[in-house]
Amino acid sequence: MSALTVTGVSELEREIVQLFREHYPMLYRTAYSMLDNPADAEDVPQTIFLRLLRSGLPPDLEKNPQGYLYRAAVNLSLNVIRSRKRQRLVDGFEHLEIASDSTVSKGTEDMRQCVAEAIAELEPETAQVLLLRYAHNYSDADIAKLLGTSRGSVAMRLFRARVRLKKLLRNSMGDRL
Amino acid sequence: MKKDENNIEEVLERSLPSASTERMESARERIFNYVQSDAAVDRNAGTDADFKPARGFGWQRLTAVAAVAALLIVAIWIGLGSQAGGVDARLGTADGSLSRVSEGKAIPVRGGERIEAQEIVRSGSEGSAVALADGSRAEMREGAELSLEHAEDGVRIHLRRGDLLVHAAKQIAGHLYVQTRDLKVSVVGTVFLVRADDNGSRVAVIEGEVHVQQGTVEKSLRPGEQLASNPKSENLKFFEETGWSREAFAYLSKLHESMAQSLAARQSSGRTTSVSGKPKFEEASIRLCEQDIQAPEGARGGGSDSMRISPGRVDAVCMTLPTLIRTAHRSLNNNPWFEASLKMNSTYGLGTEDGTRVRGGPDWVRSEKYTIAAVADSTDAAALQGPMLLDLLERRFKLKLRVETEETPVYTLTIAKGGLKIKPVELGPEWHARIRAIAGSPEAPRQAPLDPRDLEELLKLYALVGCSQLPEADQDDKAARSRFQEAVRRGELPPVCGAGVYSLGPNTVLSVGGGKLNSLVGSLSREAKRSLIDTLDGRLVVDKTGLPDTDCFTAIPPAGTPCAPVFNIRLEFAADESYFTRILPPGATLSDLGLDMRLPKAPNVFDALEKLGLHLEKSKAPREFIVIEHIERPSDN
Repeated sequence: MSALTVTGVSELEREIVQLFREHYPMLYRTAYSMLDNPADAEDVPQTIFLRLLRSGLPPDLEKNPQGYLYRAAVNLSLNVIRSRKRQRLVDGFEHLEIASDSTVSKGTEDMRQCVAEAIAELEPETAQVLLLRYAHNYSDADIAKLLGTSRGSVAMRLFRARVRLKKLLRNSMGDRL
Repeated sequence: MKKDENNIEEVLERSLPSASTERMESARERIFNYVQSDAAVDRNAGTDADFKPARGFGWQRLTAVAAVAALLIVAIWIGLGSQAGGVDARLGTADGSLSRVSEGKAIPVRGGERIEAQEIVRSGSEGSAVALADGSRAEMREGAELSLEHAEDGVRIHLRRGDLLVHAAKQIAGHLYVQTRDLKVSVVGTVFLVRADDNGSRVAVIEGEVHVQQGTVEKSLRPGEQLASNPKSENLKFFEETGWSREAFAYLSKLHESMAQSLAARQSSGRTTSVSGKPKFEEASIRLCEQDIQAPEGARGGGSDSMRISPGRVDAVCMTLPTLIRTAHRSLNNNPWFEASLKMNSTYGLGTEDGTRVRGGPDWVRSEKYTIAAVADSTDAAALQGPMLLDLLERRFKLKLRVETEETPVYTLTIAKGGLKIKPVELGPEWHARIRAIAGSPEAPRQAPLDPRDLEELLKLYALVGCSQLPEADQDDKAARSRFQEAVRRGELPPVCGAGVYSLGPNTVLSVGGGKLNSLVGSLSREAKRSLIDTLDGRLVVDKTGLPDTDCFTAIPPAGTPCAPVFNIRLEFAADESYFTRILPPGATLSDLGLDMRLPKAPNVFDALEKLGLHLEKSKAPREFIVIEHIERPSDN
């Protein structure tokens, strides 16, 4: 936030504006990489900052703003993916005939959906590490710094995440439930 | 690192979509404005309202933007004191974009400075925003000049020249006026655009209602309406004339919402929705798409070749004319597009018309793509995406079409000689009534999310059909969910409710859970272009079973119309081997996709259908397609 002096704007809002400016790109990119949909991706940073406006800045955020906000973005995105799956169950009757067009690359579409849903099956902490590596191209050291953990822990989480993901993808490919 | 892990890394790197900087930046301001306006609502209301995440720009939020937009753009705080003769102007900040005009000189207005009544201020190249003490706000386009004055019962903005977008706050007592050389606008809470230039003045309303006075003549304007002091002047194009504003998107969203509300009010009062009886788009921007917009593929995409229908609005992103025509023209025999309409407030990837449905016309109609944003006084999704879109194409592209018929190779699905071996589910009329009561109908689908009680009842009703559904209690139980999915895929449980397409090793499974047979026919037609391209040669599959096809699940059929029988069907057949090589991304293996090719091959699709008492054979059928007789590049917006 620049040095604007605006009547009626609280200190909290100023801090939130500052946080928005600094961290919005990462939050949006994180959400987009998980949700593969611009509208849903927009909802994630919007929801995060609205919640901060309503509830104030928690101590965890003040200690490590980027880590806190990133975790929030991943967790919210995971919720969206899970709710999509639930929605498909109850929406089935109305959406049956609206299949994607045959000219769309089904292979890529299938793959993206399966990967997103497989990531949603992971523990949030695991998904956080995975996304930092593969969506943001962070090194182990950078991930450790952002999430406030050790490089060894990051490496172990990544290893386990890949193994788990492989199993999940095996189970889910082709699934349209 | 092991080979398997390498594969997973490759899959991840290819499958995690990346947002373009352009997309990210375009969303930034929308989100920021929304968050800011929400903060303003809280401040103004002085309450801790419940957190309700929402998408897009609501009107309430936009109103609030007026009070706090200063956070993003240059903000001027002008307090109109109650003392006679003076206007207090305290500048919160200045970036050089607002100047005081005095004796032919422009002097930048600095923060904290006092602006006297009658002083003229001019907006610089960045534009400016003026916030009044009552919460009103006026956004000035580059070069706009105004002064503020006391009126007898309020405040008057004297617009000397240029464009001004006014968000007038609700006036507790009195009015906000905008005065130009030849028009006087009075409001009590609304949003409108005013232009003053050498040719006269014009007022266009985005939200609410304004009263415009020219001499002794007074007129009221509502959203989407405008009035000019000079009748020869051209109408303002909302899309273009608000484009300079930093909140252009918000203004347009607001206009659409206002028009939809206005329409709803008129409908409820029994007034007609269209003067001519044939609804048309009132405003439409049609632009050549210079380059494709990258977006995730599939029906949830929002980039090129996608369309979104919202109340009073259609947005088509970088689509070819044949694709637009195919979408708007939906009455072809034996050449189906979507059997259901595009739903309101959803974005659909529509692909590119490949000549199956639309033919003819010059080459450019297939090479050039257009982005269309059109608004209308209609909340009828079917009309917006159908006849209204077609009308727009006819007007702006001087489009002329005809429908031709040709004999085309198809596959027909009939009941086999031994009779149908699958049994329909018997459902009573009460079942249909309850489903409709909860889920709505195709014409009026439920808009609100299902609450838990509705969901529970819906699931119970579906359970009576005999199709499978994951119990709500298991939704968050990963192990239970996984078991359920696997059991359905392998046929150990009945088909899941709805239509399903699964890959199971070397086989494809089509399922219909509580649906009509024609759902299976539709799925077969799609598979003819997907996993059965070699076997079915891309041919359309036509239903010739003679079974009733009227959907009584979600629609109310005319009296006496027989309902389509409801089935639970699982059809497993061997997919073409070429399918698997096509679906694999470069470098990936079938193992990466989790396909166990060691599973036994199912019968071919013909034999699999025979087991159900259905017969598939080659045939010919008359198929209609659209021919472009005449088309021109679009007229200017």
